[in-house]
Amino acid sequence: MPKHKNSLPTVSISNKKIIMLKSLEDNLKQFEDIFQGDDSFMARHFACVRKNKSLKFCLLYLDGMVDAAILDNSIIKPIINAHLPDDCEANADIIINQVIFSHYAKKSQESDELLSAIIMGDSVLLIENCYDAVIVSSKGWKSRTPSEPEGEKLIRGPREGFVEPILDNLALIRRRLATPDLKYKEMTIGVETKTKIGIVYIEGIANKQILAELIERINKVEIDGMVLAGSLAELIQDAPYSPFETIGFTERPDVAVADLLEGRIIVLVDGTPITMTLPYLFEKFFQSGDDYSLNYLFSSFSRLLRMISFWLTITAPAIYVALTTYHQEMIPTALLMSILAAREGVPFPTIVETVGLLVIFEILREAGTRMPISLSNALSILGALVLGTAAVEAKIVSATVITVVALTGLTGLMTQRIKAPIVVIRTALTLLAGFMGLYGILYGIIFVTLHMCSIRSFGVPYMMEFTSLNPGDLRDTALRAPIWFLRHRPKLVSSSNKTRQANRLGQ
Amino acid sequence: MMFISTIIISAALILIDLVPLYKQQEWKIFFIYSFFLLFIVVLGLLADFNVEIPSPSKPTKDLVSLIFGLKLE
Amino acid sequence: MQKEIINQKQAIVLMVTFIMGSGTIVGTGDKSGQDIWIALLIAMAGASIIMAVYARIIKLFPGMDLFDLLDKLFGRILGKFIALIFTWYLFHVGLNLIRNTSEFIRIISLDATPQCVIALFTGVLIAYALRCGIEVIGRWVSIFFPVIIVISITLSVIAVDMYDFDRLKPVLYEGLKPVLSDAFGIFAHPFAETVVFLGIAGCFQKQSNPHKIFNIALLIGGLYMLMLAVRTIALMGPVNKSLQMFPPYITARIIKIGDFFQRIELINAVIIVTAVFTKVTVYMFSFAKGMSYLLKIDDYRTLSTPLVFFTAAYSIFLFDNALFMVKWALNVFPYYAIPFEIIIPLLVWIAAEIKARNDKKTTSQNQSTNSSGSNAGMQC
Repeated sequence: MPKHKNSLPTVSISNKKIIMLKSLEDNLKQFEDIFQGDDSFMARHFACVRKNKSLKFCLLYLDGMVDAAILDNSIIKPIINAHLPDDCEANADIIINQVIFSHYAKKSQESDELLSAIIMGDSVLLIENCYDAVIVSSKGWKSRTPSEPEGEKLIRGPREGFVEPILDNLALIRRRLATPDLKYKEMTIGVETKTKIGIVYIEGIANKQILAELIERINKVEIDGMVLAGSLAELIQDAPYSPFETIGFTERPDVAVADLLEGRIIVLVDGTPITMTLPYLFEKFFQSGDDYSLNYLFSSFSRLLRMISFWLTITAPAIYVALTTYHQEMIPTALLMSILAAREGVPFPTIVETVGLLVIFEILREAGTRMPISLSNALSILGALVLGTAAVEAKIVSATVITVVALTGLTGLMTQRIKAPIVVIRTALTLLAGFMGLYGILYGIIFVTLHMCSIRSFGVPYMMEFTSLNPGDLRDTALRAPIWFLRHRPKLVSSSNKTRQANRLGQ
Repeated sequence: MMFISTIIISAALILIDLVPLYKQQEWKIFFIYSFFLLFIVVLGLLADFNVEIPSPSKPTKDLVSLIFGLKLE
Repeated sequence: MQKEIINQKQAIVLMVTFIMGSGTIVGTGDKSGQDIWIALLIAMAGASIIMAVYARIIKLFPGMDLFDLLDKLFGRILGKFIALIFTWYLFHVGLNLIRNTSEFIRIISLDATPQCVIALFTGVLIAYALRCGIEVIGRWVSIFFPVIIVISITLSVIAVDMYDFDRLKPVLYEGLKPVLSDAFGIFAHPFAETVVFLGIAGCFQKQSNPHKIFNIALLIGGLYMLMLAVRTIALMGPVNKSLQMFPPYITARIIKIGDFFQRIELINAVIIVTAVFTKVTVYMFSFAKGMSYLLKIDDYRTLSTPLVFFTAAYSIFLFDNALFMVKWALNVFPYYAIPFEIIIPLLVWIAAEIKARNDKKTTSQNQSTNSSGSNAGMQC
């Protein structure tokens, strides 16, 4: 993980502090000073009238962040109607215990606590002649309902995805895991944003060393704000310069729960529907939640397909370049003839042609990713007609290269989650192939596999399951054995508690 | 060609290894490292000018045939 | 720096790939003709003896590599001297292997590419592997080993109807002498080269059994070489074989499946380059360890990079031509390697036995039990 040499100066939300005084007016003035310039800051004055005198209150909140019904019914109404004893002095405890209808109410004098409560959508109740203020939960901002994540669809899975608020996500997980061993540790990151980070794990299954390491790394992060889960992952993951991700992401609570049961740890970040799962090993790229609900033979087949696709998508253009440039003897004669015929009249060398088309394909993909649907017709016309047909007919590129690049793109789409390594490795291999033929590709692949073997994800070797030389370890990596064979949790990832199911076969 | 390749490699190694070593003030390994780098560049230069450098293969061949009395072509 | 550890399985696989590495480029001896398989069996028998010595050394002082051991057994000066000689050997063979690879690639396919480019590319790869460390190489080889085995067995099997086992006859037509000569060559060339593993023995898991590692590696590697030798002879015959510069590679050229898959010898090249790469890496790893011992540097990794590039650059000056290279490997190397593969290990072994016995006496007298620190930690 990267060292943070230039640590930010730790500043509080505001340099100004609130010192709670006895007078309500003085306290209110301090708050107004701090929120000066913010017109959504509201202060509602009201009073509880008793026989001879009235007790003044002031409710502070940010408009839009609170649920008005809560303020009306749980705070203002009970206080105004309250029948407080006559001899009662202003006392926050009495207000909390006897008056306010709210599941969360707390007295406080802490400046930071009061301010962040207001900012996060809670309200603060100031009381006349009282040093304490009362924080009442009144969060009322809108969030969407869980819907199926677009990026991670399953055929036979739940139609629910994570949403933005962190506690809603925790609820989505907890609903599927009815055990008190499910632990949730909350931390905050970001000097300005104070983003909540939730570490979710199952005690007794998750590896304690990994948990301790994770907490230590999160504690080391000093940053002004944390908006996306991805940027947090980049700050805390191993091998930060590598294109391979050692922390996984998921939008699906069912996938998160399956990971928790394997002993992995889930990190929720407030404000993103993307959660992190770790440790994340290489085989995870090729696994999909559907694998466990579809037939095991079919799932194994799909996984093998994904693996082959991964290798094809990084090597196909390189192999084409190597074969046509250096090793023509390996191509069967008939095929060689048609390749040559297609290349006739094309002005560029094969390497330029291939790399150029690869770049154009990436441009098409990038353009398509964030494009409004209304424009996608234009894109497919451009891509398919102009590039596919017209360019070949105009003899700018040869048809074989288009075929190879199309194969590359197609297989690349199958392994969407490894996007970054694929693009980097594919380009490097293609250039190496132009330089040293098949040996260049071989050298490149040796380099890449060495690199993958050297990575660890939170202490767990990235390629662990593939390097154990134990064919049994492939049962849930390259293949998907029937569920009753998957009786153990992955080594090193989980703690000593390894067995997942009773031995059905009676062996 | 060889000279250029060795220059590129040396430049990369200076960036990757020598600069950190200099900053950490690991003088011993720094000097050994730079000595070898210099050697590599010199070898590259000599290779481009087709200069013969003593190679251990001929002497070892002669030595073996002397000791064991073999006739080796 | 955390101590690197490779477990028993990885050590075996590393050693098998190491053994496979050399036989595949320059091939085995060319004097015995069709009797090469007898030579191989004799060489394996001989190698099992010397490997027992290597394994015994590792067993006596587990967790120590040769250079630590030399210091302990022979004292500062003599130990340094032997280490110097042995390091020279490691350097020289490393040079040879890098040259073999680059020469092989250049002759087989890339005749227009300057040799230095190939050599330096190989250097980049080895340097990176060494920076990753032996533990990573152990893991890496566990991925590639099954691939290599599957490819070569497939290649042998699909050619099965092209085998002509009559080419293996007549047995011992020219007597035992050329067979013994080749057996000596094979003994020295891949099998006894495992002496290099003394240099990395410090990384073996403490509870692993070095005898088992060496014996299984010898068995699998020997069987592989046997398969390769028989395949080469059965496909080409001894005369054709002796005409080729890289016979095991060329055999794959004859193999074809139907009309579509032919000239698949480049797949063979994958095996060759991978295996030889593994072999050079082990050599250079030992070399870097030796140099860091001689120069008294704790961290061999930083030093290994310039050493590897120096070796790669120097390999260009090693031979004038490829023919000399092959002849040197086949004819000179077996004799040249005697001091390093037999004499030094024997010396170390005897000294180690004496030292171990003395140690035992003193410990039993003192009744002190020094429990060596267990090497816990995450490992795979």
